[in-house]
Amino acid sequence: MRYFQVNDQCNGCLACVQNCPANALRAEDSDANRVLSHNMARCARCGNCYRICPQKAIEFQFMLENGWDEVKSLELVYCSVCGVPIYTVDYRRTLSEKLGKESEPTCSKHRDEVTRAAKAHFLKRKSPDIRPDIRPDVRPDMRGGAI
Amino acid sequence: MKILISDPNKCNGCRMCRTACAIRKAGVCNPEKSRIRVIQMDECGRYLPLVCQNCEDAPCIAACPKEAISRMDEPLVQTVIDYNKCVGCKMCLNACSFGAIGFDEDRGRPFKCDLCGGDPLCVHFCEPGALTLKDSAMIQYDQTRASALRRTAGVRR
Repeated sequence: MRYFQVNDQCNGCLACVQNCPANALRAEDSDANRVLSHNMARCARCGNCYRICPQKAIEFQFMLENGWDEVKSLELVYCSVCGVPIYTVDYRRTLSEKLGKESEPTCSKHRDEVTRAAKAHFLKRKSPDIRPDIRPDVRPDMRGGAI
Repeated sequence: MKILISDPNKCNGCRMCRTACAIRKAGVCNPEKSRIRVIQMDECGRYLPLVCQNCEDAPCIAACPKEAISRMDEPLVQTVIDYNKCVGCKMCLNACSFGAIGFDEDRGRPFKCDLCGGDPLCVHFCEPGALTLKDSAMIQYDQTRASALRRTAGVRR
């Protein structure tokens, strides 16, 4: 967490602790040290501590800036046909654990396990259910193509 | 149990089923939102319309981390998604080996064919009659399974 920071100027006067309206700051004297703690869930981001600090020790600007903290970075898996990112490596592991088998990473448009079987079936042209009489119309842009 | 049968010998690839499905189910004329997909097989010049097959041992049910997908017996035997439990993780999309489950980015939830409650609109809109709704009692599964295994024996998996 980089939101609430106290720099080296702090001398432990505890003005901030006394003036925090939300009780989000706490000081504990234990053994040799005075430990200052901040509770993000209680903090109302009012900025009282920042304004009141005589040493200008509280770095409050991080609480107000509109930034993003990276919390996780995971490796992507891409569709083996078209190359669009589909899911992450960890997602794939979860999936294969649940299904009990590894599958080729493909996006749903290129999910072609069925297509492969169908193509093989049609390309063999041996099956009795190939019906030349009801062949589908060949589209103009496919004429003279691979058919 | 009703099954939507598609015949690649008859399909001419007009995608009218997709348009009709999208308009009925999503209310927009956007084929991306349709529950049926048409696979184009250029090598053999055929089209294969495909919907959710309501698998007996469904991978989507096994994959769903929230147990939102279940198999229903009434009124139709089919796999249904419980949108109250669904969190939109897309596990089912990636588990489905047919690619039959789509994802609605606007609402953040998956969708699949529900056979329109027993009277699919795509069947009525299919001009060449490639789509038919049949009762599974009419299909001899043991023969179909044996011939499918025979044909896919040489196919790379």
